[in-house]
Amino acid sequence: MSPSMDDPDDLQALAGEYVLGLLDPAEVREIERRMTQDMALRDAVAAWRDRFLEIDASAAPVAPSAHLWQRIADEIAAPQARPAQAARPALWSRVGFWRGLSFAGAALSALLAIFSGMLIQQMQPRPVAVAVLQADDATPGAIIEAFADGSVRLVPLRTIDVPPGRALQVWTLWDRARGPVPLGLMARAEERRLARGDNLPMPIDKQLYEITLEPASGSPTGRPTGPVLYKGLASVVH
Amino acid sequence: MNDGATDEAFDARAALRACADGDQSALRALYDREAGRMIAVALRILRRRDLAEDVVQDAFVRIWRQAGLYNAALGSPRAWIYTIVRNLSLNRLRDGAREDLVDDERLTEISDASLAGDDPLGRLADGSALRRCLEKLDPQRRVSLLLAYTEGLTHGEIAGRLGLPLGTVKASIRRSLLALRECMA
Repeated sequence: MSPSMDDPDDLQALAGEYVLGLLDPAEVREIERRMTQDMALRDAVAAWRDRFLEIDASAAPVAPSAHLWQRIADEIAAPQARPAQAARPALWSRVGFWRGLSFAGAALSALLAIFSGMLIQQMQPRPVAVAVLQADDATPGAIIEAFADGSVRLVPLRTIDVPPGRALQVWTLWDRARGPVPLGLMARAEERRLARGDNLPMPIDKQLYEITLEPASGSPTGRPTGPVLYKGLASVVH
Repeated sequence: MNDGATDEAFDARAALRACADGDQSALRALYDREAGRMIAVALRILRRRDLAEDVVQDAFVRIWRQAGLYNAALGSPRAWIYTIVRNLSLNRLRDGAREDLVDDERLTEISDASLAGDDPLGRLADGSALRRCLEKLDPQRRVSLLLAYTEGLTHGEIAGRLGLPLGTVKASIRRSLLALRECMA
């Protein structure tokens, strides 16, 4: 697939074929990668989806089996599926609790693991600033703890689904003249210390942190190119 | 579950927002409203009721987990929902070989189920621009687009079904798409 994206007809036809489901898996991955950067392509795909939606929306409904809803409810009630309730004050202790629990899972050296887990926690420096990253609709998605050396620890609060061929990239912005600085790239949202040893400046109050969806190898431009999934301003911890 | 197209009173965007906030009743409202049509869409592609319901189950779980990622730049909220159903159905179709899905015995079951007599074009509203513009295409081209979208057929499968060379089908779908877009503009 190498139609010139400069030709509007090629772009429209490609977007249409994608929405019709006619592209092969490699082409689908390629177009989904491009859509994170190429707004014209993304708009063309969105327009085709809206044009063809009517075919789905006018299908004759088929009554679901009696248990279908229960199967869905059971699956979303499973612990890993439940979106984290970020507003709860007990969150921080829960983060620690879950870490402790995961250490305990290592059966053979459970005691040692818990002990060293506590030790690591005690030795870890305290964050100097904290930010809650939210989606556009204010849904909290992750917490950033920022440390004196500019590194951060990311704590996801919900499952963030990453389409194949893409990754999550974490950024911070403290100086508009310099622009956003990448802190790290993740294939999936997981608790992780990022930008360790990069010796970034000490985090300041209202410093912006954000997570964008980027190609798997990271933004090709060194600046955020994909949609911003979650963002938030840091508050300095006193 | 009503059979009509869009009920203006139902705000799919608000439902997605509520799902992102963890409000399960919003997911249930979406289910009550859309699940029947979602099964129908999956059934057109997969032709097996059990697989179609599996896909719709996965689709609701995905809607629940990803509702916060919905972004108007991706299309309308309902287009987003049906894209999820269609993509999951197409993945399932292409993972499990089609021949497994449509052996003769099942084809009989299928015609009993609901596909027989399904006429996606005829089900579009009378005043629909999509319908008017699809009807302007010559029949073979119209059928090619509908087979791809509703049944998930590949270029090669459409060529086989219509007895046309692959290259002809590819070129004609491309031209049909451009004509359709211009007509609907």
